[in-house]
Amino acid sequence: MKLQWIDYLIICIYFVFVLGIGFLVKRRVKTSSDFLLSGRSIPLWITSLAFISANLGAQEVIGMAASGAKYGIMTSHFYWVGAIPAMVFLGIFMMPFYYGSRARSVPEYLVLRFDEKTRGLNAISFAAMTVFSSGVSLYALALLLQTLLGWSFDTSIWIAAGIVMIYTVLGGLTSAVYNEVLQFFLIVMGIIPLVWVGLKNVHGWSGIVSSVPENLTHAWKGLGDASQNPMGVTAGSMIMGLGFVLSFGYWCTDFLVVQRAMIAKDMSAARRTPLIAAFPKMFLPLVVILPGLIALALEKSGSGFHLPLKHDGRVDYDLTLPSLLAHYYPSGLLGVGLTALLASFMSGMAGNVTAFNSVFTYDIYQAYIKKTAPDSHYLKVGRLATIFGIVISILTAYLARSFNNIMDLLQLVFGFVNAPLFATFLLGMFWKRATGNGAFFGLLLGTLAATLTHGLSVAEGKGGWLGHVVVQYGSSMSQAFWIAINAWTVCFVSTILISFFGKPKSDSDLKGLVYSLTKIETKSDRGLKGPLFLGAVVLLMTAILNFLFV
Amino acid sequence: MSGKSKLLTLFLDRFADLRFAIGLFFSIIGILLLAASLLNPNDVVVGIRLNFVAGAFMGVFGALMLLSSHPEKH
Repeated sequence: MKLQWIDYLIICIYFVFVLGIGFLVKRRVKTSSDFLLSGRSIPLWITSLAFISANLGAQEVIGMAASGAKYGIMTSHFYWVGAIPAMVFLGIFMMPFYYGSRARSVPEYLVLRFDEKTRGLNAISFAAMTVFSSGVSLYALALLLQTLLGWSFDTSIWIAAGIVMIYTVLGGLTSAVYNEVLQFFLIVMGIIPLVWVGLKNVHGWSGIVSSVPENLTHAWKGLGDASQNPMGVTAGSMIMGLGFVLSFGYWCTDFLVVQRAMIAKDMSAARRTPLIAAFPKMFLPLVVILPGLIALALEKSGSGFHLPLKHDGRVDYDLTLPSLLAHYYPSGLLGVGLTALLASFMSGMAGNVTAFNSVFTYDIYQAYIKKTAPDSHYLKVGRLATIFGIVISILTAYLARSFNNIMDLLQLVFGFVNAPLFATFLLGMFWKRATGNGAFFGLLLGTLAATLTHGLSVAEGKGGWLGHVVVQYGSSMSQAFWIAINAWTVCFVSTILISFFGKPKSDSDLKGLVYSLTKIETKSDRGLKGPLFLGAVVLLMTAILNFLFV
Repeated sequence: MSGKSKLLTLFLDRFADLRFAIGLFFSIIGILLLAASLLNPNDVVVGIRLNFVAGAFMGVFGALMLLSSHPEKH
């Protein structure tokens, strides 16, 4: 891929705007709440776009195009089954507790609802996970720029990390959120021309249907038997594993996304944030998955376009989107497309770092190191935590470069920790009998169940490290779904059983934290702009989309 | 306050509104793409002058965002 001066100019203009937003937002940052919580004053349209944009990192943009080429339209399950229902559940049922309890973070909700040790476990695992994720994002960025443009790995890392550090240290969460919104528009506008010209080239959806294998153009066909669909999963494991455990675990409990709703200016806006975000989210497959199918159809049509290959001769699906950009885009628009990819990497990193600094400051530093200090002290700690998070991200990126397997291992371990989390929140919010000990040991046992499932099962040569293989899965995805299902079930059941042996908190302590003791619906919630109506419309539209690609 | 610093303050107040920042960004990108299209009129992809169409679309989107912005609002 060869860039011209205009492409470099567009990249530089983007950097100037990103830094400019950081400098201007800094004028409003006076307290730790301004820095770490955006003063809870962000309007609904910004929180909604930031909510989906925080998840629209490079792994998603590049990874979904790759999955589109590999698994076809079935990849849309990560949106229509694996995201939208959970976003509706978060907006209608869970936000009232997160926002109404005035908790500053998801781990802080756990200390209010359960106890200190449950918060500590969640805060430490989340803080570690976010900085490592940020490092993985940085590593992927540098690797992509090295592969596509021949840029130096070191230079790419230091420039990207330096820019993210400047704007997040200056403007904190507001700066990160504002840049996420800019990034959202950039990604959509940078990729839509590609989809348009690609569809025209392959003669529309009917052209795709006639050139690629049939099972890649159906979302639900073949899900009765794992061997009959490209993902190698069954409808049951997909709905329970992806659609329930993994999806609800991520969208309803991961502070990285929930934080975007928690900074809304009032309860009504906080509840509507994930619901409004669901509208663009349900159409994102057209922007991020369709390019994968277009690439495949283009290759089959004998147009001269070929999906890039790895050194071992296998298709490198991760380069599907970049190779399409290089195939279609002239200088100028190529700069916009490349800037969109850069923006997604940097925004993913900034999102992780701003979630990390809040959890570190409130749930680790203030909880365990210095409980009382002037607000200016916590503001300073928040800024230092941002710098610390970015430094760890850089080190992680270099670690990933040297020991790629270590990163796979870390992601696997974090997956084990996250899988049971939704069971803890579900019981915490909807069953007042759940106790702190039940939640803490339930989480530990759920994580143990996830580890054992991986150790006793094999899929695509992965797992089975306990020496005795009990079950063989058709694909890694199927294995991941069953790990999540087992972890969730064990956590759910063990939390209930252990809670029966302990004394629950009193009703007065749980007011505002548990469904049966909290009044959620108000008169304004029942109108056409209310969360219930919005949620119903979102679910209906998602059902229609599923039906269209059945 | 001198005229120059007044203008700067006015700009900064406008820029603090995210719609202004987004609008300005896409207006500039739109103009650049239109200029690139005019400099290379033969740059046609699948029968489409891609830089021209994308530039016009981004320019109009940027202008609309600029028009909807207000000083010192989000």
